[in-house]
Amino acid sequence: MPENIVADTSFFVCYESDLKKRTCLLNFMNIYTFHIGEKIRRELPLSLANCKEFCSLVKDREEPFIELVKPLISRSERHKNDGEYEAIGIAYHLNEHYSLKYLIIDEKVAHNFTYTHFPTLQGKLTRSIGFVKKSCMEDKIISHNMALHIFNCMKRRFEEYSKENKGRPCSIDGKVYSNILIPSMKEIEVDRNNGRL
Amino acid sequence: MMDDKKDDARQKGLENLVLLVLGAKDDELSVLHLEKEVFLLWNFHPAIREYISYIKHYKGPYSADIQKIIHHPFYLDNCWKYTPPARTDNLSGGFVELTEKGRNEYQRIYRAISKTESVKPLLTGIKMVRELYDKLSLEELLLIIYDTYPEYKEHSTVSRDIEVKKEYLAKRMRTKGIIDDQRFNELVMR
Repeated sequence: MPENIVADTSFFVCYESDLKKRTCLLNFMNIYTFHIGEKIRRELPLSLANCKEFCSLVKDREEPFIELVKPLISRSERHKNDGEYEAIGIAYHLNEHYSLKYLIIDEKVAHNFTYTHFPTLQGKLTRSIGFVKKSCMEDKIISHNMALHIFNCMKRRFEEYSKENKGRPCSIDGKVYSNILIPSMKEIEVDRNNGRL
Repeated sequence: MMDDKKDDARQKGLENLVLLVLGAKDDELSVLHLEKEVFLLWNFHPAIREYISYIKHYKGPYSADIQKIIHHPFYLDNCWKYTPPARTDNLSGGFVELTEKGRNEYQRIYRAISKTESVKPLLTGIKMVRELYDKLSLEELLLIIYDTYPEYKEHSTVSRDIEVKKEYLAKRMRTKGIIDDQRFNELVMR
C-alpha cells in the first residue's frame, strides 16, 4: 500500500521551479501518496497545478484544520496564505486515522511549531533534503544515483543563486548547504560504496 | 412531535460532543478551556453549529448550552464530575473530568463512530485542540481568544485585566515555545 506524505508548498516549488525537475517529483509521487489542501494547491506554480499527471497522482483534502491553530499563529498579510499550517493539520489527521510516513516542512517556524506542539508527529517530521536521504537510505525506494543527482542539482542551483543573490532555492541557505546538503551527499556516497570512502 | 425529536437529537449530540472532548485526554479540564476549545471546533466543523450556539461575553465566546450540559446532563448522567472553582478563582468556571462510567462510555462511543469517514475529521479536530490549548493557562487562553475573535469580546474587568497583563502573558507563551516572535509582536502591539 502506498505510504502517505504531506509536504509544504516549498517542496513542490523546489522540483518544479527551482530545480526544474518535475520528473523527479512525479517519480516520488508514483511511489508515495502525496496529500495537499486548498491553500497549498493555490500556492503551487500554475505549470504544476495544471499538469495532468500531477493532478491524477495528488490527493486533495478539504478539511480546514488551519482554523484550529489560528489563535496561535501570525495572521499578518505576509503569512495569511501560508500553507505550512494546513499541511500540519492534514498530517496530524492522517497520522491519527490512517497512516503517515513523512511530513515535509522546510520553513523553520512551522517546523518548530510542529515539533513543539505535536509529539506524535516528531518522528515523521523532515525537510526536503532529509526526505530524499530517507527515501534512498531507509526506505530504499530511490537509487543512490538518483538521490545524488537531486542533491547535485540542489547544490548547483544554490551556488548559482548565491552568486546572483537570488534567494534560497529549495529553502537552502548557507547553513543548510554546509551543515545538511554537503554532509548528506557524502553519506549517500559512502552508503553507495557499502561504507567504503 | 417533530421539534421534540430534533431537540432530543440536539441534546444527545451536544452531550456526546462534550464527552468526546473530555475523553480525548485523561486530565481534568477547566470549563473555560472546554468552552473555548468547543468554540474552535464550532468554527472548524459545520455539523457542530447544529448543536450549539455562542454569544459574545466578557470571557469571550460563551455558550449557555455547555454550562447547562455540564451541570444537568440528560443522557449521560454521572459520566463527568464537576468541581467548583476556588473562591479566589474567577476565571476557570470550575473543572470537569470523566468518571469511570464516562470513560467507558467514551470508549464505546469512540469505537462506534471512529470508523465513519465523515466523523474522522471532527475526532482529529478534538484531539488537536486538546493537544494545543490544554497547556495554556486560563489567562493565556483568554488573551489569544480575545485577540483572534475580538467580535466575541464584551468589555469587562476581566478583559481589562488581560489587556494590562498582555505583554507578560505573551512573553510567557513565547518562552514556552507556544507562539513565535511574530505572533508575540502581534499580541503585544494590538
